[in-house]
Amino acid sequence: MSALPSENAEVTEELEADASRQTHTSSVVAVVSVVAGVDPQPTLDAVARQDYPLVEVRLIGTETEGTPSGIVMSHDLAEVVAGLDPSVEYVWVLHGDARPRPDALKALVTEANRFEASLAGSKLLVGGTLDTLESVGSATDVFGEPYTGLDEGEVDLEQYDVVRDVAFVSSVSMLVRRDLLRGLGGIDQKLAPVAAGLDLSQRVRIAGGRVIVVPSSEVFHDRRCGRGDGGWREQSGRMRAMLKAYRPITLIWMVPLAILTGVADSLISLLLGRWRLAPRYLLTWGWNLVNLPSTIAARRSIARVRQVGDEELFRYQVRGSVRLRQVGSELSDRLLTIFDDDSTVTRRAAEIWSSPTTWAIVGVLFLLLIGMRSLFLTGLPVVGHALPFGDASTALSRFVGGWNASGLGSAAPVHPVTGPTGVATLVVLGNEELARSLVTLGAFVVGIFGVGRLAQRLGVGGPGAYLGGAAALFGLPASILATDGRWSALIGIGILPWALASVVGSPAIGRRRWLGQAGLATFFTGLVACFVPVLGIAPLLFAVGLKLTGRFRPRLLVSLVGTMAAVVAVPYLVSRRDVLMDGVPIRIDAHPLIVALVAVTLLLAMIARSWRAGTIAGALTFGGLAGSHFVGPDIQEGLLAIAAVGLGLVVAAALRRGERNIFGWAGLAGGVVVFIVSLAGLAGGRGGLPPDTWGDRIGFVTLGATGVERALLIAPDPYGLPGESRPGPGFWYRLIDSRGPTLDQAILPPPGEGDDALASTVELITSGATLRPGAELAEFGVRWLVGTDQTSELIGPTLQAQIDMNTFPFAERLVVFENTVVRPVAVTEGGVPWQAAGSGFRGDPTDERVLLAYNGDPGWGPDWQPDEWAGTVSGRDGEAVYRRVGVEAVLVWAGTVISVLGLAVGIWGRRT
Amino acid sequence: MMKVAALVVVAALAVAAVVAPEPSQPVPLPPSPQATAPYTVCPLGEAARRTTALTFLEAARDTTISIFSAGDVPVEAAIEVSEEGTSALELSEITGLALAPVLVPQGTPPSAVETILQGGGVAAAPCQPGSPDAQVLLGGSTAEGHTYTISLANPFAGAATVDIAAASEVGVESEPALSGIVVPPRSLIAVDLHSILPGRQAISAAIVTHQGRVVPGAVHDTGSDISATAGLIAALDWYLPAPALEGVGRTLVLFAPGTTEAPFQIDVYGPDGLLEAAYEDVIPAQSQITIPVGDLLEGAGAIRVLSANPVAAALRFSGDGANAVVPGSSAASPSWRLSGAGRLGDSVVHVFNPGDVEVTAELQSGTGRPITSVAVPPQTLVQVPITARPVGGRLEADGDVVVTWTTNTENGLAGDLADPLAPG
Repeated sequence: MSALPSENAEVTEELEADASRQTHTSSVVAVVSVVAGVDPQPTLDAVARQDYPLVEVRLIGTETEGTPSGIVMSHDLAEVVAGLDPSVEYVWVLHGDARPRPDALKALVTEANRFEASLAGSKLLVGGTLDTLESVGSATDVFGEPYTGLDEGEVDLEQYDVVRDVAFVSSVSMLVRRDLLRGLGGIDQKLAPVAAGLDLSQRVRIAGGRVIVVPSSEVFHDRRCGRGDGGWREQSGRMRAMLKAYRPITLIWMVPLAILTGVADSLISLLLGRWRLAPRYLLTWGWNLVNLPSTIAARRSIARVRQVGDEELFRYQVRGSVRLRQVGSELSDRLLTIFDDDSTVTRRAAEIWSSPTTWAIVGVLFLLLIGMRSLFLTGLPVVGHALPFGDASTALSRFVGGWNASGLGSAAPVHPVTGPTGVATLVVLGNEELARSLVTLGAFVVGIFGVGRLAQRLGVGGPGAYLGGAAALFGLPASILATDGRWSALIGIGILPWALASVVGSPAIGRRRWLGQAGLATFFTGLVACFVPVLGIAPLLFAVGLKLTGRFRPRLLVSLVGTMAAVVAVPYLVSRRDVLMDGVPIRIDAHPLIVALVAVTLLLAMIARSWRAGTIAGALTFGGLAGSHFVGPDIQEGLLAIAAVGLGLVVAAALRRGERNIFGWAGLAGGVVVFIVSLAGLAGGRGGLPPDTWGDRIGFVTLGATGVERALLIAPDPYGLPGESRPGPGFWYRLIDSRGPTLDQAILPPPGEGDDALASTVELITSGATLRPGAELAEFGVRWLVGTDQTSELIGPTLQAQIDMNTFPFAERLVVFENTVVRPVAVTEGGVPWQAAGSGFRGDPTDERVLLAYNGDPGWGPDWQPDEWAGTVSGRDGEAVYRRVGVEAVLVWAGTVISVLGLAVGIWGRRT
Repeated sequence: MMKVAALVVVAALAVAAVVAPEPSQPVPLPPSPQATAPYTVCPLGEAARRTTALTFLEAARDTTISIFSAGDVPVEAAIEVSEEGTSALELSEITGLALAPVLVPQGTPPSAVETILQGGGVAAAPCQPGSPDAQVLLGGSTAEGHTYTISLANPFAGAATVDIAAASEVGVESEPALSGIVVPPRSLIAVDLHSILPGRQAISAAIVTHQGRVVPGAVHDTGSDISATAGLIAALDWYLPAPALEGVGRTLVLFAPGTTEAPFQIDVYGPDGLLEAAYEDVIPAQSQITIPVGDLLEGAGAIRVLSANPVAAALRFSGDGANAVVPGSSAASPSWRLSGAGRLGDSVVHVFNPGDVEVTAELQSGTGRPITSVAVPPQTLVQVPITARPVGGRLEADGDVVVTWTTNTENGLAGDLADPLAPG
């Protein structure tokens, strides 16, 4: 005692107490629970070798046969505890597959006394290894999911060797105070080992006790009793432990969150090819429902000893969901593996910042952020074909063969872009603007990597390829598309290089790998065909072209398989057959100097670098540009997207590292100039798109709507209107519905009888031959007549002399008239409007018939009957629905299923 | 060899991208030909102080007229139309509004509708659809004892904004109160020019529309008779039959609404034949000029005004207990409708043949029954009497003529240009 060094009275007192505890010998009983099929003798031998005295050793199990002599066998821990002498201070619970070091118990007792802990757990090392960590105490999330913080196979370097409070310790080796154990009723026999440890730890903590881990107490564990997440029994047990421990107020929010987390975990795991999660969650909840009575009884028992609130449990929990974090991390790893073909980002993480490629990517991404800054400030403009997504369920129903409500409606397929954009909106829980921004930004980012990947497959990879990605997305062809507001084509540019890259490269080794390649080709082909339908054939043609060029390794069969997914766009293209070579063209404004600059750069790159890759790039760039002069807008989009990717390859080839001769230097300079010129598209900050024209300015079209109504938009040229338009007398016009312009309305279906009637009405109105244009337009559900300010000369004079359309003075730079006698698109004969419900309508059931201001189509029901150019349905059911399953819908479904399957197979194939 | 071929192919494609013709630019359909206005407006209707009758020729059977006032349409009434398409209606039968402008929907062909005013004199003026161009009201006066009220009718859904560009013997009038007059939808604004610009012996005004559409009319009350006028659209060539009425003076009123002066010449068709360029002068921009017809023509005849820039022309008849303004016609036609002729009593139809060949003209009743037939020698004015009747008649000729009518009663003098069909 005199050797105690401190002169500080408090410290001296503490040290004296500590010394006293160390000299005090606590009485301990060891209880070894037999693991089924495991001989407990090695565990008993290890217990016998402990350098700390034990009062008694007991076994817990169901079979008494083979019990070593002198060892008492009990059925459960409660029975053991009940029979112990009150002088016993601690019970050391051990699994029958654990082998403690000789000093394990001593360390546990010493530290438990020293920290006045009620429950102390050992550091577990994996049996059969010298120093692989299994557990050093654990935290959990709020749902009871364990979080060890250890990496798989992490070696014990004493990095965790500090006694600390933890959420729970494993029941493999734990020392617990006898009186507390008895008061708590022992270990829950219904629970699997880890869950049992969690349960006991939480009950101890609720009762006011400390739970600590003692790393100096080392126990080797053979893991014969089950591992970490140990299947649905462990999961069920963990949930039961939390259900027992939490107060009701916590359970009110925890249980629904746990269910939602389970659903999300199951869905994400499906993407990773694991289907068992959902059944496991079902079993978990089913088991807990069955055992609910005993859980409630246990809660009552805990309530009697509760000393602290749930906050004490939260202190040792990690934030969020451990499961979601794990699957999210796994999913992102998988995706990175797909995108990052040369493992720049993933495999060589340590070298990442020393790579020029990385800096090129960072630089281009920075430029991308500049070029897309409006996404973060004001949102994307509404102009041309760059339109908001609209309601997801409506869009998706139209995508899979529902009623195409664009214009005056048609059974013709909508543009397939409606499908993926609808899914995107659905994923972000219906936030259309967020979905639009994410798809746009994502496509541009993906496009940069895509061009890099394609360039690498063509032998011109490297840092310059990523700069080529920026040239592809902002260069001349992309600029032509953007100026015309062709949003879906810009997204197509982002996807196209992936579709092309998927059909070139090393041949697959093994069937699974080949299926993976085919799957990804299928997915990317289907996806690009959704955004730019004619590009569905591009990968196949590209593969054939590569074959003709020689040297490259095209995957012809893969491209052939991938082309199957393009059927998703076939119905749309068939419906557009009349305008494929005609229609309102995209304005090609290619300055000859820029074309010449690109051509010279490419020729130099072909001479100095790769003439084969240069040929491919040139064919894509100039073939696309030249061809786009002779075709309709649908094919123009495809050709210009191809030209954009080609331009990216031109820059990649010119900037490729290699021998620096005069041609090489000149090509490099040309590549830099082409790259810089391409960045002109960044100026507006809208990804090259023009300023907003039809966004907030026509927000008024939703005003006063009693049902689905329409606006008739008029402009002196078709490029001034959202989406497509039809020629009128001296101007162009189109209908949009009262939601405002949306992407699924962009493309007008082939004109029907209603469109002819509307054309006649427009002619009538503009000739000044009617005093009541509102009444004429009411037949088409038109409430608003909206002209750009340039059209005031065209429509103003005639609409000044009429009596049923009021001028609306509050629109900026627009000439607007509001119809005073409007009739909604769906209305009963008595004038009661029906509301939109998906792609149909709903209202109060009535004996009257319901007029539908759509081009007549017998697919509407119930009991559709023609009424001039439109039709009526029976109002008895209270809903008007469109049901028609034609070959178009089958093809769209088939293409969609093939694409999604392709993605799944592609991921599965790459897991090798 | 392959490299060279590849270079050539790429270069060729680049050239093709430059020289390929631009895609053809889309063009819309040709603009719609402007149809005849599907309505006409009678801005001078009154139902309290005066009796207003509307006379219809060739009206559609289901014609429903609307009276608009103060932003509303308080009266809509279907008119009774005979099988021959004639009808006459006194506004007091359907409304008691003091100012009761009327909107009349038109069918095909459009009906000829005339406003006949009685009370403090008699007057007649055609109903018109109005025009976005300047509409000229001729032959007024704000001399002492006279009232001159311009009515700006806007039966349409949008508000209109107009200026009244007035001119008198003092030249172009400058009065801020006449600028930026807003005429609300379905409303009528009455502008008392005698209050704003009093003491003008001869005053005319152009209604210049900046926004919307108005249909103007004017009533000039001398104290002993009233005249009514509708808006005239300026033209380069005017024919004005000039009957000689006993004790009634004739004045040619010309107005140039444009921003440039209008040199003109007057050809006179008198008893001695055609006298070309009998008078030449220049009308200053936005000004009027008045010429006593007696200085040019003795007795009945006709006047032709040829101008280098658009002008409006009318004949004002004035005298003791007589006041009427008969507008000129900018075109000749073989078919004319005289909707209001005879409504106020026995009347005279004045038929002028500006051509070089004799024309035979048949006067018909409103139902199409022939009344009389006359030969109209070339360059000659012929007067044909027509007895009193509820609704006027038609005139069909085998050549182009210009037709006006006058009614001279003890209550005053009224007259108007007939309504031409298929002009020229």
